[in-house]
Amino acid sequence: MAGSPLPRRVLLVSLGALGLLATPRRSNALPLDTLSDALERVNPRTVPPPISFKTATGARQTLADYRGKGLVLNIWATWCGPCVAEMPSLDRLAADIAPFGIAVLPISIDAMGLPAVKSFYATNRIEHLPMLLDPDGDVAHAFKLDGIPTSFIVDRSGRITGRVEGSVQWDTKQAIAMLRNLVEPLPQSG
Amino acid sequence: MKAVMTRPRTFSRMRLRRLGLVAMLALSFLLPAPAHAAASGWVGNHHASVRLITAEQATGSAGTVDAGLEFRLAPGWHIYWREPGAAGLPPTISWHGSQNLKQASLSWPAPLRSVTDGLQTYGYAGTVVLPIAAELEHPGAPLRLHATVNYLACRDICVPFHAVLDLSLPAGIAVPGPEAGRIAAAAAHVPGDLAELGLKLIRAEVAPAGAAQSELALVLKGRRARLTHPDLFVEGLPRGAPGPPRLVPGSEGGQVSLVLRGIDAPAAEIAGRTLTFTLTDGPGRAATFSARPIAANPASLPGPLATPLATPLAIPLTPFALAFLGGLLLNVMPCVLPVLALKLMGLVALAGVERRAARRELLASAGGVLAGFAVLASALIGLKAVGASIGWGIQFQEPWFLAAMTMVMVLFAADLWGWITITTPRGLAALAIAGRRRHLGALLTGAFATLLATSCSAPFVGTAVGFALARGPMSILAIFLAMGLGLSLPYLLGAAAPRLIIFLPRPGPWMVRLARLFGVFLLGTALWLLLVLFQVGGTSTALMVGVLAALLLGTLGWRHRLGGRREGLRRIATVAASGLAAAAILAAELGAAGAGTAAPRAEAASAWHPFTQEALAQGLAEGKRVVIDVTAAWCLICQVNAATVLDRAPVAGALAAPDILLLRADWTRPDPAITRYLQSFGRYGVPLDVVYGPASPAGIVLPDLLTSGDVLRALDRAAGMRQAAER
Repeated sequence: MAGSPLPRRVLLVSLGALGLLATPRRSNALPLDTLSDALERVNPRTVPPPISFKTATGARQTLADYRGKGLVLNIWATWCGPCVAEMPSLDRLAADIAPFGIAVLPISIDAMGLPAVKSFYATNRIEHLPMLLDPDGDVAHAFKLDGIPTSFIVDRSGRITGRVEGSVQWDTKQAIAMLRNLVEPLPQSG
Repeated sequence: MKAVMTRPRTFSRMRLRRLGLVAMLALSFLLPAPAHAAASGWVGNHHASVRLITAEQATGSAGTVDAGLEFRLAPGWHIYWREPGAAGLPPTISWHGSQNLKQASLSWPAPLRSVTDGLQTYGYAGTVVLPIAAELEHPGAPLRLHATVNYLACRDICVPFHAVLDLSLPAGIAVPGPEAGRIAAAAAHVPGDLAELGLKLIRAEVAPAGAAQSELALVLKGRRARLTHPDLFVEGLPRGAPGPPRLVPGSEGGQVSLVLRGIDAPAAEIAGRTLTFTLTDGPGRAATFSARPIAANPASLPGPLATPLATPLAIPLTPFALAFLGGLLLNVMPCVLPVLALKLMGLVALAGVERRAARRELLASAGGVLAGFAVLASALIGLKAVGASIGWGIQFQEPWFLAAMTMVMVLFAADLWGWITITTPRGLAALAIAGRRRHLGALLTGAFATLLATSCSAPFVGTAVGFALARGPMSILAIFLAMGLGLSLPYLLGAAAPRLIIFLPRPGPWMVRLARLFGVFLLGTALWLLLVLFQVGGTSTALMVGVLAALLLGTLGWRHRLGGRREGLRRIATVAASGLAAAAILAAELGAAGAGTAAPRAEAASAWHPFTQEALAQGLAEGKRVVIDVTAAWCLICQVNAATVLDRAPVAGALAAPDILLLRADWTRPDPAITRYLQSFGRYGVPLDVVYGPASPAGIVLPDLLTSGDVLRALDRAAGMRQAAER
């Protein structure tokens, strides 16, 4: 043995490696599609159909209640596997993107309404998302959806700038940058 | 749920056009087109569509028409089973608007598992038929099926589909249509019962895995219990959808276990709950059955790896220490007490002899103990290898062993009374000649001490034996020898420091009196063994062996009376004695075999009910506290526990509470169910006492040697917070 420096270095490196392994991964273990791959840009931007949905307290809301904000509108249900898969990343997105004046609005089309959503939020520790309900599926109908999850990116002037079918990884740096870009209204040039 | 999709309508219009084309072609060829098809049109889109089919083209005279709901799914798309898993919805059908339909019952073919985005879901892909038995109100009359079907199909998105299907069958001869084969094939995929797979459910167990999770194990048995790629689907869990099961080869021949890990509910919430299991093993092999899992210890569930038969000696030190300590404590357990008499006599006799001789004698006794343990270990290894269920003290379940031990006790008693000479402790001169025989005697004493010692467990012994028997031959041998070392420690200490023996009183006439007394003790042991034999082998067997033992004693007494005078008669007596001993063993074995099952233990007046897993599960389901006492007539510790704790105030009073169910498992005779229960705690011997309750569904295991305090505390703990607060 030449001395202690080598073993100590080996020890430190191994500890570091262990630490890396032990650090909980922030993103989902399973790779979801990236936003840039799944995004369908809506060009020209369109005005969404008039929709309304209920909050957890039973108050009826429309998109007009969020005027001036950028929106990530997500239509989902607890029985929908792909929807359920992206909810945790959507929850983290809501926390990360709130400072930029962007709201994430998941609208559940569960026929059971609030109880289903409440229990789902509790078991999956969804903390940053509001509970928004459309138990009759009117929102899905109004958007003429093919299926769920479908998400719409709505800019600050209230127009749809993008559409995503299926689940994506919402809380990456790239996705947040992209969303911040998408919700800015077009310059009034032409 | 409202329809979300718009595509199916345009698509079905296209199909209609195509159908029209086909119809025109048929007309142009003047083919006799059937008035009614045995299938409705497809309704849906290019992702998923559905139609109604029937096996026959007319209703015929039977009361039932075989029908089916046929789904066609594009690659990647799936629909859900009646239990969808982590997400999803099963199809629902309303028959409102049908005519001449009394009732329609839907069957579910075995599902397939799919894992999407980390979620376990159960369903069907490709083309699938859900068989429907349509019962007619008026057999022989036309039938109109009108089905409103709502179903969810998913791939990367989920689409709720809504389809209205119509199918009319005329009256007439029930000629099988083109769809008959598909319905029959689907019906063949509907799970049957376990017997059809050649399997039997032995038990279902649930054990905690962390605070919020649990593990579930199904132990199955069958002559051809060879599952190749099994999957297991559970209905009735409070939440969560477990992943695929692990297949674990069973400890006994023909057994396999399926273990589900990571169930998102605590074991307490699952124990006693009726769950429905669907086991699949390749196409066409599936069974559905219900079971109520009982709470078990995490350690007792079948492990992820089968225990290899030859485990290397890589055992942690603790089991050795436990085995050693257990062995040491066995010295003062009541089961070894009669042999203690022999030991004491040996030591006292040695007080006068030379140090070297004493040392040899002591070492021989220690060797006897170790040899006894080695023999035990080898026997258990052998039994385990041939797949027999093994345990600590199981030799007491064998009539021949009990008979042999009875005879040995009689012989030892005769020896102590000086009627015969097994050892010849008569001074130094004799030692030189009889040395070998003396050592043989000491060795035998040691070995018998071992055999008798196994009739009771001591603290630590249960744990150590449980550890050993669950492992390979080398581990069993090593642990048993460690225990033997513990049991023989007093001898070894004596051998190391023979001076200790000098402190014993010097030999004298008192020794003869003491020897007589100890002889009586040994006869008492013989009587006790006969009593056990009475319970193991039946009355006639016990009587026979008892008479033979008395005859043996009589013969030996007579032989002693003859003294050195009549050599011939003495020889005859010796032969007769040997014959009697052999006859007793034979009689016990034959008698017990003839008796079949002996009379059960008389426990009519007792508050204890016979133990079964079902009784335990039911007691728990009723919210009761359940006390399990696993005992055996030959287990002295068990008798001590009953006499000093269980049947006495204050415990007896506490056990009389109306919410307490008392179950006694009598292991006096071999009982696989009880052996399994013992093994579920990693135990291979009695006593075992466990207290279950609302707050302890997995059971609280009491120490081997009970104290009133232990039992009362466990009862309180099992009752849970609510009752504890009331006190």
